[in-house]
Amino acid sequence: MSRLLYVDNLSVTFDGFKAINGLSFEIGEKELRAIIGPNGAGKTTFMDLITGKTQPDSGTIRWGEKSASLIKKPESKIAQLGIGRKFQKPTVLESQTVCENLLMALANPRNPFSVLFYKKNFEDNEIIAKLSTQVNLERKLTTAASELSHGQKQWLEIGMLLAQDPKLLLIDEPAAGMTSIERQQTVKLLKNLANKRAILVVEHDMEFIRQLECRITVLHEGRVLAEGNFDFVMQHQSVIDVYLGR
Amino acid sequence: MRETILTKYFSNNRHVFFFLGFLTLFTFAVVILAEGFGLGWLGTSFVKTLGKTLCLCMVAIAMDLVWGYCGILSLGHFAFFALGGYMIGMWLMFARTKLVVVAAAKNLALPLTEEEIKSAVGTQIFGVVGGAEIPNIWAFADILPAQLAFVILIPGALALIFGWLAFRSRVDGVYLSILTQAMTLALALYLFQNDSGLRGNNGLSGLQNIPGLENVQQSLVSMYFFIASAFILGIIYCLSNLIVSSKLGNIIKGIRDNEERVRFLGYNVEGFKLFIFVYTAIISGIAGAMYYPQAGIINPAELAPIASIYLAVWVAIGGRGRLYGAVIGAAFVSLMSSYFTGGQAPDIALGFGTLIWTDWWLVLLGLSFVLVTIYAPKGIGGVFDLLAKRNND
Ligand SMILES: Nc1ncnc2c1ncn2[C@@H]1O[C@H](COP(=O)(O)OP(=O)(O)OP(=O)(O)O)[C@@H](O)[C@H]1O
Ligand SMILES: [Mg+2]
Repeated sequence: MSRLLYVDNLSVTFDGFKAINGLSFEIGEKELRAIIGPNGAGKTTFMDLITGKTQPDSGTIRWGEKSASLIKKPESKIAQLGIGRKFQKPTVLESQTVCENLLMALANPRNPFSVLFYKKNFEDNEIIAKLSTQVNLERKLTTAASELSHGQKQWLEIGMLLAQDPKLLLIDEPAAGMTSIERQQTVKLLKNLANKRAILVVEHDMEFIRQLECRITVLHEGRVLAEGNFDFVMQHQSVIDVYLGR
Repeated sequence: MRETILTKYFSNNRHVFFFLGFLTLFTFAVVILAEGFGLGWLGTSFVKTLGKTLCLCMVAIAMDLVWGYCGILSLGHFAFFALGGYMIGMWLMFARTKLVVVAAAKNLALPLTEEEIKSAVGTQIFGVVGGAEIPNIWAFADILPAQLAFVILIPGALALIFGWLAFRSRVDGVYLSILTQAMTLALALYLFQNDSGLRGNNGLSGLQNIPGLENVQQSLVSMYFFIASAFILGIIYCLSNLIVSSKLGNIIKGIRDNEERVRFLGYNVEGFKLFIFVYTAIISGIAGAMYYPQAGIINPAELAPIASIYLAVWVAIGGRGRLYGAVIGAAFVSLMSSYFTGGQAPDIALGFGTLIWTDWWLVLLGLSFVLVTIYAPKGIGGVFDLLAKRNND
């Protein structure tokens, strides 16, 4: 499996507090990976660093076949390279319909003039129809996003990420606020999606993590504490000490 | 009914047709009732007020796009408006003074040389600020097409530079509002100086006298400007609707509601803000260029930051995020305001004192602003939304 994202010795400090402290990490193409760790471990900050929202103090982040550096690139450029991100709180554009939300995410040209003269065509309609079925929102296309349930908003956001057709999906706490049925559907969806792209999931719900059946990275105090499959991590003494046992 | 592109467009953009229809009717009504061509029931100064109001509606549309749709509370759009006014004012004043100078020299034995004309014009225009030299920024003042181009280019360029600097460093919210206000204030203070080259606090005057139309009555000139203002307002409304109903509109509304999300979808948010900021600055410039020939005079006091704040109040009262809301707000509030502050409104004697409208109008306006913001955030335009909804059900 070839390497998609490579992070080495990454550090960032907020007002003297080392949120990420010498973190090294790798994920391959079409790999599904889970990240766990206690509150404040730096999971969200790690995603901020990858997507360019936060700039690291030191370290490297390299992307793709050419190992291009992502540091100092604007967020929109990084997104265009093929990194999609779902936030911890569901963030969809509330005042717009499901269809409009998806349409905006589609992988079409993104400069002001080309969107001004954009005309919805047959292919785009097809893609939106397919995507909305994938995330169980095919009946809600003309509904305003603000009227969706919490779980449906999470899905819409995932649908928007898929519409971008990214190579790597960063998903922060997808199961939060979902019913157990919705969780199972989400597990199925993520496993399915990982056939075509790499996915990095941050989650606290261990049952959810177990069902993902993937490699797990444990973060603690801004660095990797352990990495391995579910059983390995569950039995790892220091993981039990700092996270599972509490 | 068969869905054709046209019927679909109509059902999605009904307000455009209503607006254009209303604007046309209104224009015809004024033409018929005014002195210029018609019955003479409306005086020339009232026609000018109406024409100016149409120009204010144009800036209100600009404000609505930038604030109501894109979420940038700019307090600088009246600066762009005034700049547009100054650009056209330079030509009006220069060309007219030149005609006067040439006409006065007709009876001289020798015709004036180009140099002599220039220096006479310079003395006429800049005498009040103690100069006779024509400043460099007036280099193109004699060429109408050049000054017309500046009406667009100068506000556009200022917005481009200012916006680029501000958006690039991710200034937003209150800080951005303060920054736009500072820009307006700085520009006003600069223009107040006598050596700014634009006649300091005297400003430019006599703008109602259009060179080449000396023999046309003001009642007719006012009609020309009124009709042209209505026409341009119609175009700006359609153009702006094109923007807000396109995918670009979805993106700028997205930026207003959740900038981060749009950014991580891969859109260069700063570029979009800049696009809207510059487009609206240009509209404001055009509006100003139509307004000041009807007002007759422009001076730096027009740029007072308070003017831009009024603009925000109009749009809020009219209803943010709807183009017709902005137009209604601007028309309604500015007409009310000229009624109350013009001294026509009868004072009301209360037992303990007299309610003098020229003093109390601002209090009333401020109060309505607060009430609308709290109880009717959709403004007057919201009423039309309700009506449209009821019609649909
Ligand atoms: N922009 C910032 N400024 C200052 N401190 C920050 C900033 N972002 C994160 N932090 C701090 O960095 C630490 C790591 O936060 P982070 O959000 O990455 O944790 P997390 O692992 O995602 O936790 P959770 O499981 O609660 O979501 C926290 O102590 C947080 O307060
Ligand atoms: Mg987090």
